[in-house]
Amino acid sequence: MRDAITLSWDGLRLHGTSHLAPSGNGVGILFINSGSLPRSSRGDLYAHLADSLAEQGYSSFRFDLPGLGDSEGEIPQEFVEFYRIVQEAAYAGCVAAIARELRRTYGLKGIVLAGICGGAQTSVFAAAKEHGAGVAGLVLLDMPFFLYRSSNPPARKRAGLSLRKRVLAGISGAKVKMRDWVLSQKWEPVATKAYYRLKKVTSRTKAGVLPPNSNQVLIKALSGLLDQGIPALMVTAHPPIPEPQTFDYIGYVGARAGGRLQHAKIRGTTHSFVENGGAEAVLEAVKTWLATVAPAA
Amino acid sequence: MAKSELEKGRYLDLGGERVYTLSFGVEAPIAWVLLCGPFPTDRLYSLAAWVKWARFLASRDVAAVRFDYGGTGESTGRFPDMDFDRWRRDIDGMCDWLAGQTNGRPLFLHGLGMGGLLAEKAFAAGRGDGLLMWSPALNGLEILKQGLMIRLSMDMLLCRAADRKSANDYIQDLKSGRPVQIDGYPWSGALWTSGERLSLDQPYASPGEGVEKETGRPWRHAVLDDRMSPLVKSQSMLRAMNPRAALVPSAPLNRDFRGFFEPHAAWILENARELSNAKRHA
Repeated sequence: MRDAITLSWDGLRLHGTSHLAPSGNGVGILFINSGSLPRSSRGDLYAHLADSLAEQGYSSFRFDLPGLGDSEGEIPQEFVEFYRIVQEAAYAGCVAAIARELRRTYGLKGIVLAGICGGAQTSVFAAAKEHGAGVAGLVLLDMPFFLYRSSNPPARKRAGLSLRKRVLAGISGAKVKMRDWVLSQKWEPVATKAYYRLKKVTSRTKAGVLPPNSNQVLIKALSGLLDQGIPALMVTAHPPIPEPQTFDYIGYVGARAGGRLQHAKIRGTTHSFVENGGAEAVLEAVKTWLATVAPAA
Repeated sequence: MAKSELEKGRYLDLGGERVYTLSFGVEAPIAWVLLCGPFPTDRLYSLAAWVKWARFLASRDVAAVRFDYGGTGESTGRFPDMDFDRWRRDIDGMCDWLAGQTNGRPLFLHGLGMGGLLAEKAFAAGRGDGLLMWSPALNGLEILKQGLMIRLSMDMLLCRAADRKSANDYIQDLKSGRPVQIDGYPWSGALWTSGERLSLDQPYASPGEGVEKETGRPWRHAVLDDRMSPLVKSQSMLRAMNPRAALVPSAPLNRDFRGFFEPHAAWILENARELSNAKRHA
């Protein structure tokens, strides 16, 4: 049964929804906003997952973080700024406080943090902030390991730059123009295919080395949690039309995790998991994982 | 009343489902506003700004209540069982509930997008003392066709060219009673047919404002363009929400809407005072 709940954090009123299990093992689940979306998520996926998991014995909770959905607070004016603060753990303290409060109020022995995209990143940061205390596990849905950045960085005054920096800025600007020009050409798909093939070859020679655009802090935090014994489920979405090969972050993090990191691949769906039975597949993956790491009573 | 109780989420039993409502109360409201939100797929983008508007109203001594239509957002119910008629009845149910809260103060219906269309239908049927519409959908099909565009663009990503359906194929599916999945919501044939029957009445269909001759009830129809995103969906916003691209184009997420909100709040307050005076003299 859904109920409206409210918490206060840092002077802000945060609105949420509880889905209490009639009986259970004392492990609850807290869903974290997917990016800037409200707590029900796209297609109300979180609401349906929470209903189903509560029926399975896991009391579930969804809160709008400050400035999102129904909750009070301010967020950055631009999307890219919001992504930047999320990937720099801005919401970790808030989520850790909510998790603590939920455990206290509902007498939970542990809480699983779950989220899509930025919600997954925040789950990792919040668990790391709490040093794992009370966090029974992580459900990380299509979590980006790379850093988002603006496609149009602010123009800098060139006068103060050294000759070297001006040359580098010129090359960078020319690369952007070249990229835009290629994207506008009819033969772009062929060129893109050739580019990614070449990239695949070069990435083999650099295997095991993180790409420069990696979110090193996030990777370190997740590795640290796995080292502490916190189990994690990574769920990734794989659209039917293959995407370009990218660095195998999950393999990189999982290599040293000793089985504490499980990976479920959902084929035929998209990042929000609402296409082609993605929601049902996520539910099944989470139920199966919970049955091994926190079996319901 | 304690501050914590002035802004309160609760569930109401309406039409066999539990409808989520969030009240933004004030100590002595001059008027009440029932906020009728947009179509569920648009709610994703606009909710935070919509709630900011509710808090803005509360700061001007106007109590506001927002709610989620049955089967969507925080409310319970199966989406396949929902259609425009059902959501229109949710507005009626909310009006009935608010009748016990307003203490004789004027009640304004305020709709955004689909909510504008549904609020107008409720207003034309005698609900509320005033009507404010922001970019109301002109008819149900306009909303549904926009939704179908989402399906078609997803198909570009998910299906090879030979396997893709056309908009007409999907419309035929719906008319034949076959559900179509759109942005996570299983649309039913009933949703489509209820949309076919729905359109804004005259004179509310054109942007502007006026007062009903018989009842003296004021109404206003305002159009919001892309510059009002995220209150309305914009292309730049959709590009910025592409999760697979590390490079994010510029798009507003949290605009300062106070300059836009102020004249609409003033319109509500001015008309609320006139309506209250007219009631006193009646």
